Amino acid sequence: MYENKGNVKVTGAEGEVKYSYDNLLSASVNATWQNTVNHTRYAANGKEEATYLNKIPNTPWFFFNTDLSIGKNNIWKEGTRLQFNWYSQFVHWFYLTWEAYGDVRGKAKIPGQYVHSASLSYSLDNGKYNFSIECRNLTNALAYDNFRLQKPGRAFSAKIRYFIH
Amino acid sequence: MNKLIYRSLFLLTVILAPFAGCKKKKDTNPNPDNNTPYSAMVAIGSWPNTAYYIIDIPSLTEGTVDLRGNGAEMTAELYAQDVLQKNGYYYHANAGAGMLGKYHVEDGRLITDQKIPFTTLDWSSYTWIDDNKLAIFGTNGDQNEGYYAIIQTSDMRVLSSGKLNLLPLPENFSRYSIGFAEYRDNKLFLSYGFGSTDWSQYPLMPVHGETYIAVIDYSSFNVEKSLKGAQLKGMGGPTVYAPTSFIDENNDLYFISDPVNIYDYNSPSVIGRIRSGSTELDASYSLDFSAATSNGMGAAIWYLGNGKAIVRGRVAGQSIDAEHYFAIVNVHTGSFIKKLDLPADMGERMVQAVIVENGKAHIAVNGQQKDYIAIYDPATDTLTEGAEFVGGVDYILRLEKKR
Repeated sequence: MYENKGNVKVTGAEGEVKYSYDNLLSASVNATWQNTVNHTRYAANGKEEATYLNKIPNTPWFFFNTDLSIGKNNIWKEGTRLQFNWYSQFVHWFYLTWEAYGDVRGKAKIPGQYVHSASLSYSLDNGKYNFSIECRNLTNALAYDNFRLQKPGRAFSAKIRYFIH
Repeated sequence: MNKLIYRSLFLLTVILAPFAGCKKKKDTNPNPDNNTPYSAMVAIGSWPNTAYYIIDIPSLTEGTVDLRGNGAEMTAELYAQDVLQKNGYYYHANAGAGMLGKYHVEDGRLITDQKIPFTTLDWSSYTWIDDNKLAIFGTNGDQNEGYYAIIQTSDMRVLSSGKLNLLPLPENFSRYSIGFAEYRDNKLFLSYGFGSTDWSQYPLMPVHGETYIAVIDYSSFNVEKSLKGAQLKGMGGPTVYAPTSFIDENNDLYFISDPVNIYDYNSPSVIGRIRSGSTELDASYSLDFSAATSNGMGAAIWYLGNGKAIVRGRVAGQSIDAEHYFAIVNVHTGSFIKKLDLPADMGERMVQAVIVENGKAHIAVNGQQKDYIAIYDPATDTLTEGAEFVGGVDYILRLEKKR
């Protein structure tokens, strides 16, 4: 749920770093920090809004993703590849409501989350046939989309992919 | 390659180790923070980021109330304005969730004491039978039947509940609108009227010309009769937000009507009376609030004593989201006294805005320049400024006296 505020100022920074070595190793990290502030000064009734210049609540303000993959071509047979991926997502905890108001002991928070997932895949015939197994949320960590709206815990999946052309 | 996989698994195990969980200790000490005698419910932020808080107020007459870093956040547990308070406990019926809850504030947190399944009615009005018995009234989900329930608040037990045999809905009217409720001498007095659910006609909704006051026997909950007053059009409410009636020191029952609340834009807002010992309207009594206030409407009323009452009035017009003001009336003599010289009240449409203590009205003023408590002393006809809300408040929704 988003609010259409008349005037919101967002300042922030985003960055991404990638590294790869031959066909063996690749790694990437991207991170976002943002400060979303209510710049709507007056309410419809002409009164100054109490939340003027306050950080918009219920919005993640710092998060990053990492992805590490290690793989090798031509294992056992020409045109094959075995690859292991480890990827992580981090979201810093944030307040459900305006951070400046209320006793901090009773303020509702969306907890921080750090979710790790891994997959192992094996492809043949230059990627025409692909077999993979994946575990999402390996540590079965609590994760949320919204307040009290929990995302699934640890989950396993297997996938077979075939390219017609 | 095998080596590489084994190393990865080892690394995974090492990373897993620090992810041990923690459990929050359950609160088992339900004692409301009654060290401060008053509290206020305030709102911050515009929708959907509106947050509600209950903040303790040590004094109505002096000092400041600052929500920055203070006050129990309600949003996660109790996202509502229709919250009743008694002896430091807060009660709310959530019709959508089918729950009735009891809460208190402790160490800056809103604590849920008890929640019971409750689907009997969507509440509109209430009255306390005694310190431990709460009578609530409302309609079913379709709003085409009226219901009551008696709650024992110490253990949140429903002592009794049922359908009220109100007058049947007239043709072309599909819902009941429930107004004030009062308990006196083993009788319950409940005002009600009829409305439409055809919102395509808004704002020119069908208006039923008659409003009733049901006289209900408290033992059997039988509606003995429904009183009809010629001038009564629309009883205001729901009174779980703000009161529209009271019983004075003579045991006389007074109430104020608000026709705009039922989309009647022509009738006046009047104060009526049912005398002590009577179950009939006092036909000789009427105080025309609109006539004295350029067609203003009475949104809520509180009794000060010695015949004087304070009315939260609303400026004339078709909207109930308009500026409000406060006025003093003498209900015993049926006369309008004066409009108080206060800033225009920019507050919500329904506000539990007044605490009466020592015969003085302590009034929550949602001003454009500042939010504060004004104190009106009817004995000296003086108005002074009390505690001020600082640091920003969008709306003061309720002022409560806890003890």
